[in-house]
Order: sequence, then C-alpha cells, then structure tokens
Amino acid sequence: MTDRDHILALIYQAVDEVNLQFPPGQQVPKCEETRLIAGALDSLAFMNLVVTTEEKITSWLGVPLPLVSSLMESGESQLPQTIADLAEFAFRALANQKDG
Amino acid sequence: MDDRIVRCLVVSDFNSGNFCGLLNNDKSTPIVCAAAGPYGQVAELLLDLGHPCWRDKPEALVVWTSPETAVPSFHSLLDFQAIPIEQILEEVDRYTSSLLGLSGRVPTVFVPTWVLPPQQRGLGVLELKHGAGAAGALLQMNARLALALRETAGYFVLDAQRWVTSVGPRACNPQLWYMGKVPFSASVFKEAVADIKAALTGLHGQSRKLLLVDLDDTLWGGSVGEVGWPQLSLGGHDPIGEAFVDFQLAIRSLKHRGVILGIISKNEETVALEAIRNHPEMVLRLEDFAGWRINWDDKARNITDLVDELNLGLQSVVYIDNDAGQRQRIRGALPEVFVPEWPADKMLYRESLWQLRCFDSPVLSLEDLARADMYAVDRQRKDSAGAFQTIDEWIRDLRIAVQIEVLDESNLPRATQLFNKTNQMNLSTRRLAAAELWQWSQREQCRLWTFRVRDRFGDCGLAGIASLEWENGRGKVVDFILSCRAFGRRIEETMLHTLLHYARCEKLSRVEAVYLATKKNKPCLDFFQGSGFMQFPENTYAWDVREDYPAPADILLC
Repeated sequence: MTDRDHILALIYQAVDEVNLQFPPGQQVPKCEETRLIAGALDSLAFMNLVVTTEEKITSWLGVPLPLVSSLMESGESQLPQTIADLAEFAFRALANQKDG
Repeated sequence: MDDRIVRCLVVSDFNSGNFCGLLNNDKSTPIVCAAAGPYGQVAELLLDLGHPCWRDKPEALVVWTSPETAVPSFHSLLDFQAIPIEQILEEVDRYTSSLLGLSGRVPTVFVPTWVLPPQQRGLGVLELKHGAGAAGALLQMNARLALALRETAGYFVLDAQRWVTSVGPRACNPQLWYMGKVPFSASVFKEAVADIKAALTGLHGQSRKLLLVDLDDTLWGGSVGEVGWPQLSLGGHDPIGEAFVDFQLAIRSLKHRGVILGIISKNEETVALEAIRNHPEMVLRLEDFAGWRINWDDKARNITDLVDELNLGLQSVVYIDNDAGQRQRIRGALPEVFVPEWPADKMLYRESLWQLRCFDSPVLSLEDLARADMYAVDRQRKDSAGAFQTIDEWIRDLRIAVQIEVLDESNLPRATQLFNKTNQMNLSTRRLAAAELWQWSQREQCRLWTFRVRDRFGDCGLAGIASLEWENGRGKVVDFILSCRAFGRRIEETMLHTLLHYARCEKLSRVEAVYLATKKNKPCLDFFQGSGFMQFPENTYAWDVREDYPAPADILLC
C-alpha cells in the first residue's frame, strides 16, 4: 500500500468516526468524490473530520503531522473541496515533512 | 427491551453538537433524542423556563459547564489571583441554586463534574495547597456541587474526571476548541454517553441484576475436573492466582451492592462444589450464590432453568465465560442475556468487570444491599412450604407482617425502583421517574401506598405498591405491583384490602382495575381473575365498595 492509499484509508476511518455523530441517511459517503465544503459536511463536521484525520495520521506515523494548522494557514480558498483533495493535501504535507 | 425515546436537552457553555450527535446515534436502549440548547447561555436557560428550548418538555437534562464559566471567581484563580475559597464556594452555591430551580420540572438532571484539561499543571507542587492551587479549589467545588444536589431526587452528578482520565492526554484537543469551541474529544463524549445511557437504563428499571459465571478459567485457573481443587490456580504467591482472587473479590462486591450471583458450568457438580467449599483461597462460597447449574447440559438451557427458578427475566442476566465459543452460543440462543467480550489475559478480568456499566443503578436501597441474602432466605422459605398440607397452614407458620405506608421521601427511591422494574405482578406497567411518581402521588384524589413484608425468615423489604385515583365516587386501581419474591403469600389480597378499605373511607361506590397486558404480566391477570372482583369486558375488574373485602387471616397489618 502506498502512502497515499494509506492516508486515504485513514481518512475513511476518520469519516466512520465522524459519522457516529450524524443520523442515518445524513452520513458522509466514503468515496474520494465526497464534497467537504458546501457539500455533505457542515463546518463542525468538516473540522471534526480534519482533526480526526490528523490524529489518525499522527498515530500511524508516530510523530505529529500538523495537518489542521497547515490547512488553516493555507487560507479558505485553499481548503480541500473533496476527500481526494484532503488526501492529496495530507500526502503533500507528509512528503514535505519527510523531505525535512 | 425498553423502546421508549427519552427527550433530552443539553445545556452547556460549549458547542455540544458532537456530544448530542453521539448521544442521538447510540443504539443502546433507551434511545435518546438530544437537542443542544444555544451554547454560552447556561444561566439564562436555567432561569428562563419560557425559552423555546424547554418547549419539548425534556425528560432528561444535561448541564455541562466549564468551571471558569459557571464560577467566575475560579477564572480569576486560574489567572493566579488571590481569591478566597469561600468566595468561590459561594458562587458554586448560586450555581447549584439555579440548577435546583429545575426540580420538579425535569425528571432527570445530569451534571458532569468540572474538570481541567490534563495538560494544565497550574502551580505544580502547590496545586493542592489550601488557598493556592486551582486543582485544590476544583476538588472543593465539585464536592460542594455534589453535596448540594445529592438529596434531590432525579439529580445526578457524573464523574467527568473519570472520562478525561480514561482517555488520557488526547481528552482535550486544543484544535477542537479553537476551531469549534468543543472542549473535549469524541472519546470523552463517548464515555459520557455510555454513563448517561447506563444511568437512564437504570432509571427505567432495566439494569442487570443477575451475574452468572462459569467456573474453570473464569472463577479460578485450570480445570477442576482434571487437576483437582488443590491444584487450581487461585491465590497464593502467583500473579495469575492473585488475579483470580481479585476477580472474585470484585464479584463479591457486586453482590454487596445487590447483584445476585449464580454459576453455570460444565463440570461434575460434586467436584465443583467441593472446590468451592474447600479451597482455602476461594473468596466466593456457596452461600454467596442464589443458585447454580453445574452439569454437562447445554449452558443456554441451564441459564433459562436457573433464571426461571429465581423468578427473574433473561433481560436481567449477565453471563461471563472465558470460552469464546460458549459466549457466542449464549448470545445466539439467548439474545436478551448480556454476554460481554472477555479478555484472554486473566490479569484483566477484574478491570473488565469494573468496566461493565450494566449494573448501574440510580439508587442503592436497603433492599438492594440485602437482595442477594434475600434470595438465599427465600430458598429456605419455599423449602418450608413442603411441610404443610395447605397454603393457609404455611402462611400461618410464616407469621407474615405487612407494614403499609403512604409514599414519602424515605421510601420514594425504593418505590421508584420497584415501580420501574417489576414486570410480572404489574397491573398497568406504568414507568415513571422518581420525580414523576412523587408528583402523581401528590395530586388530589390520588393515593399511593407501599407495602413492606416480613416473616419469620426475615425481612423482604418494600415489596408492593398499590395506588388509587378517584372521581365522582368511583375509584380506579392505577398501579398494582408486587415483587416476584412476595407472590402467592396473600400479600396481593392484603393490598386489595388496603385499597378498598381506603375507598370505603372516601365513600366511593365502586373500584375498578383495568388489566393492561404485556408480554410478562399474565400472573397479574391470573390473580385478578381469582380475586373475587367482578369481571367485565376489556380486562376490567370491579368491586362494589359497600361490600367488605376482608384482610387475609393470619397476616398482621401494621
């Protein structure tokens, strides 16, 4: 499994956790095309998803990956629109961290 | 299964959306429909009962605040200002007064204790010094809060510190706070949800009360049939043996809080009982168990047999077995029985037992504390019946005394418990929280009595409830409830005599009882059919009050 695939799997785990807070029928679909902004998630759910994703990636890596603060610093226009975008963002953050 | 939906309002000084979502999505019964009040308006909402968020008349309320918001002086203390503890406690008192203002309006109020984030070290070594540290002040604040609320029916202070401690350093995630004003992680909220659901289950009389355990590798290490009792791993200078002793001690402490114990084991009965009697390190002895089935039969059938013998329902049962295959078998055959997953590591047995919430009860009455012993006495009582030709002779020998009391604050907790958990001898199977039951009993033209039963074998405690409401000279038996431990000893007739005697004093002409059938209350129908009441359509039974309904002979009323 590539790092990108692994990150996507961790995002789906985060989606499962966030979905525990939604009623059946309003749960976030686990697919790359799921829209995060102005889509399936309200602002609280989006925040929960990225925070939970960061926790899971950090737990996997064993070292912190500051995903949330990077997202916030990148500005609203740069926020990931879909789950695929979030995975890509996390993958790049990881690659940058590895490059030092 | 409890299929009621509990309407719950969450009032907090933070964004409780995550918490409400988890509470709503938890599938365990009772199902909760939680709504978040507008956050940051705790004081306003507690004082303004006309606010729209009260419109749905919540049956449960969670008031969850941070200490620095509920008690402003504490905020100054966190800023290392010199604040006298008396000033802080005065503010705690004001806060608790506003909480108590809801008494009688919301049946159940949950108040999590105040906590600080685990990372907040404050003054370090001075944190618990009098007059200095926030941690010391917080201990006193929580103690003050708990003391102020403990005497009021329906109020429960929940230990939020345990939730935070069990989650560890990730209990409070600053990202959640800065981005969403959510102070706790989902893991903390899940702990809170589990405790609140357990409390609601207990309040609805659905907490488990019978613990059945396997023997080999569950209560002791090894197979007694193979190694013999002297070679069992139990106690001694051995980590596994010590763990089994601690597990037995934890089980015995459950018995002390009213959980009935039983054994279900595939073994030779004589061999297993010899081990229980003779092993010097056994904590649990035969007299601790209300019953057992130790044989080579199917365990599911044995559980059903034993539960029938104890006059309980399968929904009361927890079954612990180290064997995953047996656990699966019981879950499949008896879905009402709760069979927790069980660790392979014996040293985790006690912790696994401690973590079970299914025994949580909103009150611990004297009856609870004595329940396990009552079952042992009941076995003697039933055995004594064999020596008599007729039930009247037996009842005479029992020397039964029934103490009749009107519902009051002292018997309300136990009465509520009996009210909500009795299924078999129950005319209408109403379910009410303590505050609701109290309010109903205080209405004009409503009266509720409790019945304490004792005999020469011992005290059965508060075992019966009967209530009457009346209008235009006609009365109606609203509740007629008797614990299964007191069935068939003319207590039922004594309760009817009491109701009808009172009806006569009130100059009523007729009293009716309408039987509402459930899956479990056929014994109540059987009783009314033989009670002497006239039978009418739609399960209605009636008595002409001008006619006396005599008290049973040989039962002393007091």
